[in-house]
Amino acid sequence: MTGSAQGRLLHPLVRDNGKLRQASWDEALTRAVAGLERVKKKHGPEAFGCFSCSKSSNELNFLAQKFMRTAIGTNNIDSCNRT
Amino acid sequence: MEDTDLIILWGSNAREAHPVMFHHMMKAVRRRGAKLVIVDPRRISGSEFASMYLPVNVGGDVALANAVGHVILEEGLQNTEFIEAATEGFEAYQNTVQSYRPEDVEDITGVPADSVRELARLYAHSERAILCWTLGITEHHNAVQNVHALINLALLTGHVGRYGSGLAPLRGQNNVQGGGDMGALPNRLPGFQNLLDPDIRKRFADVWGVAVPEKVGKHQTAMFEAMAEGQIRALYVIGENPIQSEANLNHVRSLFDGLDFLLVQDIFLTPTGERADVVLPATASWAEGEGTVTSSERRVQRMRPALKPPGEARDDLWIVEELAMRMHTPGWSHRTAEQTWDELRSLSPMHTGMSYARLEELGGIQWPCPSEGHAGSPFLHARLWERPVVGKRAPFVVADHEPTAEQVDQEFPFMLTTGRRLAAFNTGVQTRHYAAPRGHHEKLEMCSEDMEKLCLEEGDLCRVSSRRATLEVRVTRSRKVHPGLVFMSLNYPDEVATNLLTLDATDPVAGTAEFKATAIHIERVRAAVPVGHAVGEAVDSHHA
Repeated sequence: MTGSAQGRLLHPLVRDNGKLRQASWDEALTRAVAGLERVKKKHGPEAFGCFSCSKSSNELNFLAQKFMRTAIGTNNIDSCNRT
Repeated sequence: MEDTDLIILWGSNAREAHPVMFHHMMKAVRRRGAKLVIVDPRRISGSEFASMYLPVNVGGDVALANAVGHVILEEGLQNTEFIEAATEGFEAYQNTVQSYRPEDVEDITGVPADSVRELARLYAHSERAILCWTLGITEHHNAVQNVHALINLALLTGHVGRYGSGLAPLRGQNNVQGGGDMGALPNRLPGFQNLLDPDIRKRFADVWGVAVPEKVGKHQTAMFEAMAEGQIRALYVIGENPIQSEANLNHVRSLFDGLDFLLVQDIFLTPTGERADVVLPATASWAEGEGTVTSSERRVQRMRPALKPPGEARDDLWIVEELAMRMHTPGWSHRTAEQTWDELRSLSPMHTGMSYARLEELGGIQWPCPSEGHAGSPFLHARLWERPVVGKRAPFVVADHEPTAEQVDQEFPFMLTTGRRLAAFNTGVQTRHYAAPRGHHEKLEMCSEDMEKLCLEEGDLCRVSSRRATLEVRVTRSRKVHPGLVFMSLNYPDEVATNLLTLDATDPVAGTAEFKATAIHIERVRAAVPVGHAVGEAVDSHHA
């Protein structure tokens, strides 16, 4: 079912020259961390927000809030409670 | 739900939007003879099974609830013992509802006074009664007041804290409840623990090895405002599609385009993902991952992987851990879902007794479950029935009628209310690829009288404008809506982006936008079958 549904993301994607292209996990994670750290250094932790997933598990939501509070350093996190 | 005597669905299209829950409600109706009452601006399909349907006006909910309260007090049907022993603020409530005689507020509520009186008697006389609501109550700029108006009715009659009686907001996703429970909230730590309490913050800091930030964060709506002001520069979006789900979409899109960095983690490439700098492919947690979810009735249940994730998709937990570890955050490592859950249990007292082993053994446990000897809590607030009451009394909170943020006028004479359709889920990211018996098409639902007035035929293409945007959509005849009221869903945004029209007036406490009330203008663009027909002329002649 889900595994074969059209449109599933099969690879990490990164943006180059305005376009998304396929990337390895290592490259995508390196880019993700670089992007997060760049904004954190320039604007501080309050410049971040996270929308966490109300279709995903409790464990994911627990880790998402822990990530924002410990790795980023902000309480700017919400889940889909308001739509 | 199956053992109650009265189910009131207030602003809840459960038959279409919560079909599984509705099935359980029907068990009460069919097996036990429970009564079902539907309060909704639309005569939704569940009304066929209801003993009463109350056609409340969009935005008339507080006035209607207060009118029900008025009748209960006028006829002396309140539970005086419960009010005196377990509540506070009754006098102010009594004073407020005095001015909501059902006959006097008919224009606001849209409900004949006789029906209001009948509902008041039915609710007060039922041995057990459950009042359910969904987004018809909460997607308003005065959402919190709407909820208080309903809670007041439960306090007035004592329909709370007993088996088969209570208040039940039905959740819209499989784990909305869990998202809040887990502390994915700007002002609460896991287990709804107060972020502002230094002792609680210290408990978390001791386990995490990192201080917990003290400053209360921003909820989603406030984050949008902070993006508009350039304060929020980076977003991490996990499994959400705000580019299509939020009100006043043109505004939301411009906010996303202004970000310095957007990280998206999802199972599909959504329009939100298409704007991202990095997109990380995740597993579908309900079929491919290990973990738990929490239902509307606070029941924590296990999920187990049945399928292998496609391509290089990785487990959600692994991804978050990997990001934290690469940022050299103390205390993070790759762990199993159960190890993560055990950390949560050690920090959240209401989850402490819920080991994976017990969740499997008992087939799910309802919180609070403070210890491994505890069976879980099938319903809340039983303490209100202990004498004297243990802990705080339950407060009546006075709610007064407030008109919707947008009103119809000459320029925008129709009220558009929005919602969901059967066989579709939110912005359609997960459902648009599946076959559906009625197809995946969005239509503007309008009553016969209004279609005649606008010279519209079934399937005609219409141009719909609000104060924010214009879009085109085909019209369909509907017996669910009454003159002046039209309906569209948000389920097919690639075809008809309904939320371009909606208004981002939000509740000051909850931050929820008023998706349920948009003033719009409707005009015909062309007929349903334009083949060989001079379209422009047709439009002109109909407008002449």
